[in-house]
Amino acid sequence: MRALIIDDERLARSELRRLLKDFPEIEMLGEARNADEAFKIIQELQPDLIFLDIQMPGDNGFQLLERLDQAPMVIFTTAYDKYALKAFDVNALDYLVKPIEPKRLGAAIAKVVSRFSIANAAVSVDPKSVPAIETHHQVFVREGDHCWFVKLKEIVLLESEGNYTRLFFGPNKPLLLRSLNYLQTRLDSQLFFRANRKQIINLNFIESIHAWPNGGYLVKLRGGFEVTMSRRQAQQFQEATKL
Amino acid sequence: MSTNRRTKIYWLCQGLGWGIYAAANLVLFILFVPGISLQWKRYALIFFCAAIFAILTTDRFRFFAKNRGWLYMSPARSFLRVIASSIVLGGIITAQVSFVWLLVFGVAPFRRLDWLPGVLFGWTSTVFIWTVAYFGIHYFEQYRQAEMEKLQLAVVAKESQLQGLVSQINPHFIFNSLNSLRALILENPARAQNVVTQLAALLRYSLQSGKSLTVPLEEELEIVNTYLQLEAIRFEERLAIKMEMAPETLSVPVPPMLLQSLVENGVKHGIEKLPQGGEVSVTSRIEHNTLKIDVRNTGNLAGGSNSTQIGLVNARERLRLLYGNEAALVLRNDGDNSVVAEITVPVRGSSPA
Repeated sequence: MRALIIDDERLARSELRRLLKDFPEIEMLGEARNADEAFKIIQELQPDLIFLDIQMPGDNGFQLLERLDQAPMVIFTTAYDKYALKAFDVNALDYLVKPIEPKRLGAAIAKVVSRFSIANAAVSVDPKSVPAIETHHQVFVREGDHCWFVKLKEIVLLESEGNYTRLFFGPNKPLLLRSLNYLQTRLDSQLFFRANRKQIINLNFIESIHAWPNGGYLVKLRGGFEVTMSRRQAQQFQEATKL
Repeated sequence: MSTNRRTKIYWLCQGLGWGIYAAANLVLFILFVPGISLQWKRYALIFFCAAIFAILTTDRFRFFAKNRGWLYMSPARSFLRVIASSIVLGGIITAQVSFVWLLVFGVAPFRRLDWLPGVLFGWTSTVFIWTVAYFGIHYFEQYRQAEMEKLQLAVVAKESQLQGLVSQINPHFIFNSLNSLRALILENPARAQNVVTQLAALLRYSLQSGKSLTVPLEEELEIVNTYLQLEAIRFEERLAIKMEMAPETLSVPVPPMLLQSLVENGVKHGIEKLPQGGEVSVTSRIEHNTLKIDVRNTGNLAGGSNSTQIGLVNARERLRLLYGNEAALVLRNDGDNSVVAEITVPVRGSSPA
């Protein structure tokens, strides 16, 4: 796995780098001293994994993740404030407290590697490499005290709310700081369809489709969502899904 | 007051009180009752006995009342008991005195008992005065005790409040330092050793800071320097430090960890947030018999996060408890890219209240 260390402290970075020498499965791509540097490197080198310090000058770790269209796998490193991570679902991420215990580091890496190989196996089936966000990928969303790493294939519905977009998955519906139009250009069109001006739906979650008298459709999604399509959209939908 | 001393005072009051009472009665008898001056020795004997009886009887009553817990009842509840006891005690003493009277003067006075109500009333009212005085003294003492306890409680509360307000070294900083230390052990062992001693000094000072209300500014400054040297390891070239302390300020007593917490704040909200880093400066001077310390850091007070506010509120509360209105702490923007915390502390001869 190709990994990047993001920490504002030189000594913290060199310490982690030294600890990671014992793990041949981790290929070190480099280091970043702050969110801006990290953002550039991530865009450029697309690491599979980042070791991310939460407290940094400028944007903090969470803000960096929010800026990314898709979040790589993340292992948070933090000196003390475990509580800052309490908001997460424990399974969704790993964190390490500094000074880092080599044993804990090993366990975290093992977990990430196993998830990574599952995801990779899924990708290798898909031959084409599209610029769009691949469906097994995750986005980082934060709302108030809650944060999520959301797998795109788990999102049922995306709904425009001004310049932002509300994501519906499971029982959650946080706001993502991206416009629906922008997301449409980034999402896999095999899976996501722009049903109308305000909504994008995940085709995998369609429960039933009802013809509407005006030639449009009423689409029912799992989770009790109902989405309407105009006639024109319904035609596009037919083409896209070869109904 | 020790129990022993109380008992002594009690017996002294009993002896003097009843002695004077008996003597005064004797003098009044001799002066105003015609024809008894020749028999004054007999009367003296009777009044002497009366004083002894009164002392013993009231003492028994004291024992009784104490055992029954009457002294700790509310005055409203004990008042009726005081009246009833006075009548009973008055009766007992009258009976005892009458018996002596009988022994001294024979049965003659007992053929006509017209003197009895007056004597009975006299003893009853005297004993009543005794009990009221006795209960009164006790109530007063209990009240004073309660007041004193209240005062002590207030002092304890203030102390613990003060201790709660003393800020501790930021745990985030400690763990970050430990992490840097782990890297330094290989990279620069001599420096690592240095860091261990510095961390120890800082932790010791922080843990002990609750023990004294003030320390000389010099001592606080030493720890601020230690802290900044440790931060310099983390921030390297990003942290610049400037100190300008007037020599006459160094011996002024200040609350421990106050300056330290403000410098920490400066680093946390100034330097830590800035990718390019910045400068922290501390200056001190004496103006009109007050100590002024300025902690300046690069950065901006933008709305202010909650953590600063809590630290600031605590520091202000602490200054208020220690110095009243004579101390102040102001945090403000100073120009475009500088935040200053200004501490004002009165200079006093000795340590503050």
